[in-house]
Amino acid sequence: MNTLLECKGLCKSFGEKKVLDNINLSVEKGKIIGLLGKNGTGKSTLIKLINDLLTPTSGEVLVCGKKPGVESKKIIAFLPERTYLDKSMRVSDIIKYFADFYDNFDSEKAYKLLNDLGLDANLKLNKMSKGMQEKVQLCLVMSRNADLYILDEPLGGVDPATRDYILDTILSNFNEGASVIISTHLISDIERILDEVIFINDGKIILHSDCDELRTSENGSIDEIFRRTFKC
Amino acid sequence: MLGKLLKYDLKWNLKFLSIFYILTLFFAILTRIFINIENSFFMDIVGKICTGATISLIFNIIVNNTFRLWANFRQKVYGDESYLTHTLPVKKSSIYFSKMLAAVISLFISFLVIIFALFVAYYSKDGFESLRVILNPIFNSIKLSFTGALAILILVLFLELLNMLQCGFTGVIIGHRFNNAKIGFSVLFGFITYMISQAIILVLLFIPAIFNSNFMNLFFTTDTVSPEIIKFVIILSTISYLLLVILGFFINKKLFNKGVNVD
Repeated sequence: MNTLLECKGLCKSFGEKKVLDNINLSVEKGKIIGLLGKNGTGKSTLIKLINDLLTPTSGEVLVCGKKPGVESKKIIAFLPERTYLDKSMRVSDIIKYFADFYDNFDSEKAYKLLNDLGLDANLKLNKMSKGMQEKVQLCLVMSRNADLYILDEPLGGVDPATRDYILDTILSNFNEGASVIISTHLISDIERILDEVIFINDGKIILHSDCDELRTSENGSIDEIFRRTFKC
Repeated sequence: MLGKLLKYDLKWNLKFLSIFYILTLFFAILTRIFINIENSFFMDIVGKICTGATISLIFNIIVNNTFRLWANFRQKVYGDESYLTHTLPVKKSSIYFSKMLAAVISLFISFLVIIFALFVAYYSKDGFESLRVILNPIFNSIKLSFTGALAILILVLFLELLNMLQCGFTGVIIGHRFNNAKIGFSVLFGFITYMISQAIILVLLFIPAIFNSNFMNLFFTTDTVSPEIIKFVIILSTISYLLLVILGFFINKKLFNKGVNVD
């Protein structure tokens, strides 16, 4: 089975407001996919639904053919847009925490990534800046040998100099056959690593295409196509 | 996985509470030292200050334990840290079970520390004998030993606090469905749940009273009731609280299993 993730007729409403409307999506193994759209168009909601952080109003999410649950969480490594770690813990304690819960977590790799980014594992998170905390989270997520990495704004709070290192980290640290979904506004930064893009607008997928094909057919970079599509 | 969740939940709670445990025991020892020094005005004042500090810290343990467990539940289940909690490869029911077990264990340890602190600060053979002389007639009339009756009273208090803690959890779970991250709804629903639980206890005690006029006197008159009735009330309220805690646990677990919608 080559399909890693499937969304079938997925809808999510908050009260009267429909945030996602009939999302049908299929993600195959071995792809890096950019989930792109303007603010408030439903990207984070879709990501939360895949990660079982929200319950769908209708439709379903299937990860390797199963609904989100214990098995899907074993194979999905999720990096949210916010700081989600206990700030009173030391980084080394958090590494132990991840090693305790995730069988596919590689502590050595985590220490190596932290070292490369100049982060002290003995520091408590609350003694770190927001940018440093985000880097710690990325190191932890990329230290898992997961099948699907879902990264929500991984470059958001990071300085441009570190962005390239992070992108290289993403490229070099995910398994053969694993897939990565990246949601971001910094399209020009990630464009070089993407295989596919998904454009989402008003809770609907308006485009799902191979990057090279899209560049050829639209005669421009993904960043330019995005700007044209979502021009205010 | 439940064991791992429990380990971290307990660590989070007890790491902070242990400061209060140590302070309470420290002031209990000081109380013990100073209240036994006689004929000194200064030492008498210090003894009274230590007594005040010990009693305050005992209340502090209960209040801090309760609020910390509620805060932990909200933060880990619906706050920013919920993004980690709900993406761990564990069952939703295990998450709730771990929180509830951590509450039971924390409360139990707190009770032990409080009893020990009271023992260190105030126990004396004469004092204990005096207490026994005062209370024994009451306990004997209901055919309970002094230690047995004390144990039951502590158990009822323990279950009552556990019920209150669980009502707080229910408030957070139900409140979150309505609240859009406003804590007020959680507090309101927690309070309503607690009131309902108390009403259930009253109804459970009232039902047998319908069939026994002597029992009914307990509700509507100031007449003395028979020792058998008092004993029955103690046993029934203990069982009722126990059933309520178990019922609350399964209701919360079911609500929790329906899934969460984190902000």
